[in-house]
Amino acid sequence: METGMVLFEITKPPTTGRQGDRTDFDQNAGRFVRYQFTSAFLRLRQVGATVEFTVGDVPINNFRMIERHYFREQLLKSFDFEFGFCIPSSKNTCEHIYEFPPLSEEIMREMILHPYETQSDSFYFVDNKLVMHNKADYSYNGGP
Amino acid sequence: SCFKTLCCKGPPPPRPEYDVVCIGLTGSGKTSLLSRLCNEATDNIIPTTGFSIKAVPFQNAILNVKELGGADSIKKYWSRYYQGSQGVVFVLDSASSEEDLEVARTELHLALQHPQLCTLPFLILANHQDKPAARSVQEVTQYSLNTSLPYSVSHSVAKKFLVVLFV
Repeated sequence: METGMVLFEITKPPTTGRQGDRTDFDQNAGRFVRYQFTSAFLRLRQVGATVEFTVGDVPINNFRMIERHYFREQLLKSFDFEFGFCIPSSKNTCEHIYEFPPLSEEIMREMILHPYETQSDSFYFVDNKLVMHNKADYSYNGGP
Repeated sequence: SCFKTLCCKGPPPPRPEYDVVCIGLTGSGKTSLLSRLCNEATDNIIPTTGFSIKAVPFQNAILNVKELGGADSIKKYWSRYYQGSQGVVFVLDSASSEEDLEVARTELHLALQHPQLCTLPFLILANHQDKPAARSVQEVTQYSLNTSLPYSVSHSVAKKFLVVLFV
């Protein structure tokens, strides 16, 4: 955020709620994204991320996203966004600034040496029911 | 080690964050304004058709602005987003038609009186001051506000919009 640099863009937004259809989503049909960063990324304190999603013609009373970032079994950071009410037939965006906790040199070294052992889970809840689960993993040993 | 603690500056204290709701009729310039404040391009802006949450950084604070679309189909849901707000930004088009200004005035007064907003500070921005048809400071404040609540008026340096503050 300090430099205003755009690191990457992912354009395909998740959709919540179908045309008049409130049946269950397949919880296993989540998305998986793999991020490849350089080690400089680990020293960034603030990263901005934009989530964009559209809503079908049925309003949602409560939409919530919980995201957890781990290195191996250790929880690095947890984010909880309660979007609340979502207007029917709307397109909504949320830009959030991720404030990363300072990581020890030791952990950063391990994260760089072990690509894809840093992972995140994103859980999406509509009216307190889990509708989607996305996973991502990360490497930090990329270079020019 | 204690040597490191003495020699290395700690991280700066985090800036306070405030939750603000940004409303106004469609075309008043809410999205453009917020993009400008974040030093982003304003040429490809399309009408907001839901909410757009943006973290707007300032030197001493971060405003988490929840901007709401102003089209008729969206503005009927504005009050669903008032809870938890700590401030309101209302954007007006100073050069809009009499009819539109009347609608904006109605919406502004509804917001001013809404139980979840009535105790909060309001920042009213009379936008589009650069347009030839833009109404003056006096006209905008007199017509749109016409209220007994205390307020102060100031001009922005760029004179692109005037700022009407509620104290």
